[in-house]
Amino acid sequence: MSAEPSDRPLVVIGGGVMGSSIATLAIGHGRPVRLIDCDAEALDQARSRIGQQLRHAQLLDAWPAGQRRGELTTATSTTGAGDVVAVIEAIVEIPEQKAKAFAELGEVFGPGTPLITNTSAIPISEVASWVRHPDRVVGVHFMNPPYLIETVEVICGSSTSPVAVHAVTELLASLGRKPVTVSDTPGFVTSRLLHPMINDAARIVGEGVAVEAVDALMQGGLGHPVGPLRTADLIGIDNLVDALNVLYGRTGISYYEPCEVLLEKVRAGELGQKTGKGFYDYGKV
Amino acid sequence: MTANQTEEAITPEKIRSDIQEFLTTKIEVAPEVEEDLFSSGLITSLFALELVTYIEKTYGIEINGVDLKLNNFRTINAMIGLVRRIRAEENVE
Repeated sequence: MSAEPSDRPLVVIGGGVMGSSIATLAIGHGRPVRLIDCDAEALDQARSRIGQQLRHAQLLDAWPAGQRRGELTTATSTTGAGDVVAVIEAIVEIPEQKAKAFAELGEVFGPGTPLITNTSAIPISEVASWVRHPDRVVGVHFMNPPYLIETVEVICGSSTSPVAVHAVTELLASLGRKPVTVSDTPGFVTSRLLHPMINDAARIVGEGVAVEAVDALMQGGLGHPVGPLRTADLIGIDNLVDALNVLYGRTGISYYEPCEVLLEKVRAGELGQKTGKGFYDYGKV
Repeated sequence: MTANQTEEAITPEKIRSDIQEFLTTKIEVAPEVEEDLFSSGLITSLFALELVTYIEKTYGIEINGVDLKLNNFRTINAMIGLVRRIRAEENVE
């Protein structure tokens, strides 16, 4: 007999910015998490980041009252995870790498296990085409930081089954998230609107306007919560460039092609908050 | 108790000057003891977490459970009260 649904661990693939903070979200809601990354050092860093994020969310009263924390386990391979509630993939936004990961996930996890991708741009039907039993693939686009932002973007592929949708909806409810379901197009709603705006904001900076001026106008004038360039730093500029390339590659619209300012930041290793410097300087990481 | 605190007593005045000095280094402002650090926009919740870690290390205490709440870090006076109470409870004085 399988364990209670709430006791079955959630598998998270990828110990980067999103993978670790999705793990934080689940652990804080009492769900055991098995975090998988092929890089053992990345897992060590993720474990310490998760500890800090659990406290950050507690400071902001973001956890359910009296909730015990789920256990975190880490592994460098997908094997041996046992009976799991679902798998959430949160690796880099590079289609070839996601394709490789999903081919493996499709073999390792049984056909009844929902496979969730946290892609910000790749159509879910395309992701599903990489997997055995594509009917269990669902897109759930968490925004950073997922343990504080309740709204999530949910996308079904053309073959996604109602059973998979139901399982994912239940999982999101247990994590206190509020899903909004939208159509399966490149970038869905959020990245299709946000990423070109950030791309343009960076172009404006390239034309000589100050970073602070762009954000001050968007924030103070138009009510954007932090401004597009600070948002770029929060997302990670490498990830942003990868997602813009996905949008450009799948639509052919040159407006989506990552601009020189963004590409230069990536070349310089100035990727945003996670490296201590992007459009803004964050001091020592 | 941390080694560097053995020489000097942890008075409210000492805590105030420590925290003001830390804030001056980090945000280049020395707020008043009753100034609301969040509503004045001086610090973010992420920075508050840095402040929590600083206070824990400086005074050899752990801040967890119901104590780990934004309101306890809203003003310098609130932080002084929290440090003194936890130290009294943990008998580290």
